[in-house]
Amino acid sequence: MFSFIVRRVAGMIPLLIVVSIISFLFVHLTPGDPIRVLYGTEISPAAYEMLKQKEGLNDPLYVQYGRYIKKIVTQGDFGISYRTKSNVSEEIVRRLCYTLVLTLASMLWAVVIGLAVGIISATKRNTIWDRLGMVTTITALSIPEFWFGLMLMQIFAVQLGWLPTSGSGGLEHLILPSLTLGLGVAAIVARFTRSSVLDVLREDYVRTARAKGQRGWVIVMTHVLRSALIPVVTMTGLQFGILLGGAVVVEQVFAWPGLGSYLIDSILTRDYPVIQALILLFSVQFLVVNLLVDVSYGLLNPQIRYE
Amino acid sequence: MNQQKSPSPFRVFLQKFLRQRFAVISLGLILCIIAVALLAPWLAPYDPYRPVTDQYAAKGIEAGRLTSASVKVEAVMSDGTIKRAKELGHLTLDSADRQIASARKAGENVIVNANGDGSTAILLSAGEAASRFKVIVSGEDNGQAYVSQLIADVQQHSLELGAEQTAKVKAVLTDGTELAGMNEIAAYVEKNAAMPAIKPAANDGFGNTRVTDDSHGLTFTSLEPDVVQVGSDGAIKAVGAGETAVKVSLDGVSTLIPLAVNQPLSKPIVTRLVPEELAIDLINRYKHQPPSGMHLFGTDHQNRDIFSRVLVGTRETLLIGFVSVSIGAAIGTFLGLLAGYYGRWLDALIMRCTDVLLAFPGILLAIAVIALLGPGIVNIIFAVAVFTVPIFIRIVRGSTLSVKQMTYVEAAKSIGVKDRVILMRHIFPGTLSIVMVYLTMRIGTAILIGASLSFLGLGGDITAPEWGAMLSAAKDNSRNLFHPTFFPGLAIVVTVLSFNLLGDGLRDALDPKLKD
Repeated sequence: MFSFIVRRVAGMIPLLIVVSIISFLFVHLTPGDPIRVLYGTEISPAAYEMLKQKEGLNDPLYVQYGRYIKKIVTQGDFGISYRTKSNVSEEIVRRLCYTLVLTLASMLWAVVIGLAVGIISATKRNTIWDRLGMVTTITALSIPEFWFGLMLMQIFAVQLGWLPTSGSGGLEHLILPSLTLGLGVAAIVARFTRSSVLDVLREDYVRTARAKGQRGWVIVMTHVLRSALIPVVTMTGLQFGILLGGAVVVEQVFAWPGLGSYLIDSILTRDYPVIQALILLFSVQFLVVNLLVDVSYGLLNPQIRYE
Repeated sequence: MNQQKSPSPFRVFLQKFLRQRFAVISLGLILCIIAVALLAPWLAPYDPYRPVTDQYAAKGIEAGRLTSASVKVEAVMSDGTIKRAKELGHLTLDSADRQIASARKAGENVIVNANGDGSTAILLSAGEAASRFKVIVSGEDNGQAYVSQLIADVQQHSLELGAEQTAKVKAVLTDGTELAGMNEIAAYVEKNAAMPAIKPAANDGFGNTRVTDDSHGLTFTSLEPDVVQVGSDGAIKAVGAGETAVKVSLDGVSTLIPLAVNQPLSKPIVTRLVPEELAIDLINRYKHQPPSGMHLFGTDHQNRDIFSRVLVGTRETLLIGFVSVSIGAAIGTFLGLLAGYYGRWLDALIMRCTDVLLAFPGILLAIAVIALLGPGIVNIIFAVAVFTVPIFIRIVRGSTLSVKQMTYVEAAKSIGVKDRVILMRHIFPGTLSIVMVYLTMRIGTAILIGASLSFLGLGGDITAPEWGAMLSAAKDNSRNLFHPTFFPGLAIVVTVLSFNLLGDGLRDALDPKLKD
């Protein structure tokens, strides 16, 4: 097990390096001169050269890359935003919490709704409930998140006035954005749970339990779910990335002050240091979560042995 | 008989496919959508780029009937007869908010014109009698009911000197409720005390400034206090011979009670004005028209026909879906074939590149590409293509690995067929079925991602009739309205759902494990 984790982490390192190089190149491949953007366009050529020297922009790219990574790793310094001229890391720390809360709340919706629909569909296979559940899930997968969000906002905030339309604050602000974000994953979890439960229902030990005269729901709860949920847990974990990506869109709909809306604002204003930092951060988060999911799969499933 | 035993694979596929009702319906829908995309410029009833108001004249549509309404006004005389508005001569009209609606006299009727969104009230007055009706423009009802009419009566209109009686008052609100008696009216006034009284403009040049602040509650005024005196509770006392009237007013609305002391009433006077309707609905034709026969999906914030925009937007949306997935699938399939067939370092290199692309979660890969290239429709297509590539590499590589094991591939190799030919003739067709399935499903996803990107404002032209951009504009400009956001989104859902269901159907039909 330990050696598996070590190997998995070691395998991730080259990937991380490539991703960081790509994100590093964002500032250097894109139009716009960092010196002119940061210090204004009217500085004299002499001052321009001096600043360029001072910022280290005359060094070869690999030296600059090394310095960039060193700053991130040792000080958590992602540079200065072109737009606000303030430290990117501070803004990220302030907004990270919002995105995490939103993502986790969505995951909660997704798991609760997805499991319920999936289990009901599987146990009542080929009934109207099963059909209804599956039609709903495929529809949910075809609905653009932002539209679903706008519709929820329209119904619950504008027409009924039960919940705030947008912004952040109390728990009531979290309900609509998290429900919106959770919809797609809930549908995936539901479909996956259904097929996983159906697989286990065919097992001999379930038949034995049934032959023994145990009640239907007891079988499902104690015998079936135990093994059916292991792949579901893994698959749900892997959906975390989808949620992170989706958060970008949903935050924009509900004006949720997280990293996603920060990213879009920065793209629209060509604030490359921020884009650079966020792209790196999102993919690192994603890779780390996937690693954790892989490891937890081993811990959860006794059949898996890492040689 | 032999044919019965082993029908052609295509026929098996067709049989299996036709058995899937949903998939067949979806295929039909997709064909319809493609037809709409091709024919959109001819199908669209209006030009999607211009406000419809400019187009009415060319289409011979009388736009006026939408934005104005005529209301018949009648006057109830003190002798119970009813007069037409025309015969009154001195009817004045006053709108509480001319930005929203204005009114003018035209023969027997009053014509009300909508000028802006919202709701307001129009006060009619003839002499001392005044009534009011409500105007709601573009369905923006503020939910407030105004006092429309007052109905006051006494037991006897001809009094002896010194006689006393109390007036009975009833108020009618614009929502149709009746408040009978002083107590109910007092309760209403108290409840609405916080609401600003509806007053006509203080000085509108027509001397119609009768309404004052204190008239918010119910008031009684004797027109000639020498003849009749009246208390604030409606108690009337005849104090001198003559003919007069008591004016009852509430919140600008008033009615008259004609009274005569020691003599009969001579000529009937106007006691009350009755508009035909208490509240009228109008449409502001300059923006946000709700769905109607003329505009099936309504109009947007710039008064462009949403139905036409949705139709024309089909083209751009499908273009993003088809082109980006075709590019992505072509590159992905090519690299997947290479990786699967040649293996070793080429495989390792291609797969590591795929890992890098897959390290950006979900839509973020496409967003990152846009961040590099800048916003624009071509860049969206490119971004979605990049987003599609790694998935195709993975599935085609997997499929290639299994087809490579087939005996016929081994046979072809052993007789010295070139690698290039084996790949094209023997392996690629084997992967085609799974590529077809993913191609269909990915078009749905690509449309979703493309719409999301243009919703985020990364599509460049935000005024273009593209579904995502339309939703983005609706979110910013029509927050409180349902129709500008509903219809473009519905178009996306129907299209994506069709592709997803068709993909599901194809997968089941092509799956050899699935027996009939």
